[in-house]
Amino acid sequence: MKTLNKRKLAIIGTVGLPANYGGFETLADHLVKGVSDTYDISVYCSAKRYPKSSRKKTYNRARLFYIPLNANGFQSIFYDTFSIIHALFYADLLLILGVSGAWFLPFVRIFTKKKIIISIDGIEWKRSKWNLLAKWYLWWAEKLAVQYAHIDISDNESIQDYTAMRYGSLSQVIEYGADHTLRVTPQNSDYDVYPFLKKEYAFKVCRIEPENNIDVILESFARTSKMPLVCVGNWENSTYGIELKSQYQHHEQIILLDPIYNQRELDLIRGNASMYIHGHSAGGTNPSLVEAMYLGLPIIAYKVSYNITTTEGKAQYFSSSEELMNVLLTMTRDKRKALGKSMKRIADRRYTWNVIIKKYKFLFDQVFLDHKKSLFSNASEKMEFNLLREVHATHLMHSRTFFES
Amino acid sequence: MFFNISIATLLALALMLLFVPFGRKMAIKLNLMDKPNSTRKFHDSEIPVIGGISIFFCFIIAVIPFYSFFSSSMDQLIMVLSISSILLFTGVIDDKSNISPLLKLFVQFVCAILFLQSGLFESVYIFGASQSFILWIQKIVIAFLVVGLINAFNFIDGIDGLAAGLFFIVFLWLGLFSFLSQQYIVLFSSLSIAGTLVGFLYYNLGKVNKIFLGDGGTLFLSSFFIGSFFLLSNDLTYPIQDSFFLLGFLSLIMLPVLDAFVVSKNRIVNGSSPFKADRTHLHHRLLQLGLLSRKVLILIISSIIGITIITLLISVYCSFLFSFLFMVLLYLFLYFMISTAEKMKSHQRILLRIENRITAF
Repeated sequence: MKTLNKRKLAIIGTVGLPANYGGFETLADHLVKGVSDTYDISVYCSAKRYPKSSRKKTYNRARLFYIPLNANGFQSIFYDTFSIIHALFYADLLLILGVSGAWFLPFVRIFTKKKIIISIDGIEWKRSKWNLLAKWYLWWAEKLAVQYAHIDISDNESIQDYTAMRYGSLSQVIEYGADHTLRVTPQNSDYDVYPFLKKEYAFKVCRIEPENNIDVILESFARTSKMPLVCVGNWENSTYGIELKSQYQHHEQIILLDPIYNQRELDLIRGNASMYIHGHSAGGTNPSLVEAMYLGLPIIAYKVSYNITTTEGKAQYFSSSEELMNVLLTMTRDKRKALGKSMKRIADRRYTWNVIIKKYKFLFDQVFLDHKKSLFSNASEKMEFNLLREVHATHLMHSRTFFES
Repeated sequence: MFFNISIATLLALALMLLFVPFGRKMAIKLNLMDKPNSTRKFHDSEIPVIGGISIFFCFIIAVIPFYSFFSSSMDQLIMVLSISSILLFTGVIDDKSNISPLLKLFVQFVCAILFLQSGLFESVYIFGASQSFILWIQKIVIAFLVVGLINAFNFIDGIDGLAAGLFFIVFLWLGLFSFLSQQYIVLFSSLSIAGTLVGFLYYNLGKVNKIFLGDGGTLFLSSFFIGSFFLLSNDLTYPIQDSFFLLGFLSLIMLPVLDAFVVSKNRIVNGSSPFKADRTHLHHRLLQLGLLSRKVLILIISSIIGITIITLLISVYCSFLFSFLFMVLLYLFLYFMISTAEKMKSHQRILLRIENRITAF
């Protein structure tokens, strides 16, 4: 019997496995478990996060390589670059998560025949947390990533619109899975630590940044007082957070908690909430949102196209404190139940790792078929004006007006 | 000697500070004003355009008491001043009632030739040739370059303090080298002009009693600078083509030159005259990115100073040609950065539109 040689896949840009840190790492974890029957996988990890004593050589049949750099921040440029160079020696396909190493991609395309799939992870360069130099680099890196990868992945259709408009090419949309979250029934000991679990409460977990509209949410909950709000985040990390904490921590309807890293504990509080408030205004599909949807929580989300596509327009939305208060005041228990069910239906259909990994597998196979990914340019732009006028279609002449509905 | 020069400089400064309020009133009466009549201009009230005239008069008055100290080389200074005053005159007329650009160019060219024929230039051979035919070709070419430089400086007079600030630095640079080569007449005139420029900037950058440099001012200052440059080069004891001085000078003027080049090329490509007024100069682009005019001024001036310092440092270790090319590369990199920032801004606008699109499902 002939045994097919498995293709070799390198996963680059994550902090590493076992997954402890975030969305990309959870993705890598599921990829390794779901794809290692058809691919030989190697994953690059940051030696700085995995101390030598507990370092593994393999994880679920995937090889682990350790690089002595931070996977995030400024060092990520070198972290990704070294991973890419190392992978070029053996891999057939490079899956790169994040654009830090994108400057190197033109060389890979020109000098090698390796396939590159890159995930551009939201619009990083727009984030207010970066300084001007970082923004320049990230903007330029995103451009290179989209233009030199065989396939680029974004996690939201709005970002796909953006790359279509700016680069004329088609991004693939793959979101995140949420079924790693646990349905946790509170024990007696849990009620001692978190007494609010006994009653109804709204929940929010996020980074404490102005982009996440935390001030709007806290203000609305303080003023409506219909239901307490439990908010988990890194309050001490910024002046924004420190100020908000001092302003709201004594309010009886508002409970501010520090970051929780224990999956069970987080899912305990999150899963038993009566509402999930999602204030993110930037950067694509948010893993915490899809996780809340999977847990069947009714969602009130900030009114931005990313959140609307993630929830398929079926959640409640707000764009200001007044609107949020309005929603809170008109939210009945029945409405909440229906909303939660509808969110769960969407999540079961779209946001399970099964579905996500299938999408990745499909892309992995596609990338070896050499399809061009440029959008079919608006053919009517090339058509003769008179012909268009005859069929009353001159409005199609300029793709600008066509896109901007 | 240096005491005299310092007094002259301070006198020039003081005269400017005293004269300008008076000059403003005269200008208002004579209607020598810059009117905010086009979308290109940023000011919303009429501003007197007497920068050039004020500088000219204050400079002369500051210099006169010291005539006797420099009497030997004074006639050369007077020569430079006279030719520059032709351009001052032309510029002031243009400020009052617009003259055709071709006429202006013609006058500039004539003045450039006058500079070259005035006897200031004879001992400077760029390519070491002494045959009269090649010398003539050199002169014509240099005349064109001079005209180009004068117009380049004219173009950058678009926001408060920019042209005058650059002139200030450039005259200081000239003064430094005249000091090093012990050519004191140029040191004297350069520092005095620098003094008037400080006085000018006091009113130009302030909110009260604002004045503009105008065409007259930029034409006068650039031609005076070029004349002084020739005057100095005449006496330099080392050939100017490999000198530190030339490199610094080139680095200081490279931005206006590049900008004039890029903008003229784009205008010609679009089918219009290279002198057509529009908002495509570098300072306009920076303003359109959302920066305030004071920030733009600081950004441009500090970039020029920074790049010049880096270039001069490199030239200590590397050849003139390499340093020059590196300097051009640095300026092109600056342009690249600015066009990247512009692209990012337009991407951001698109993103905002996409994010706010609440499409129905």
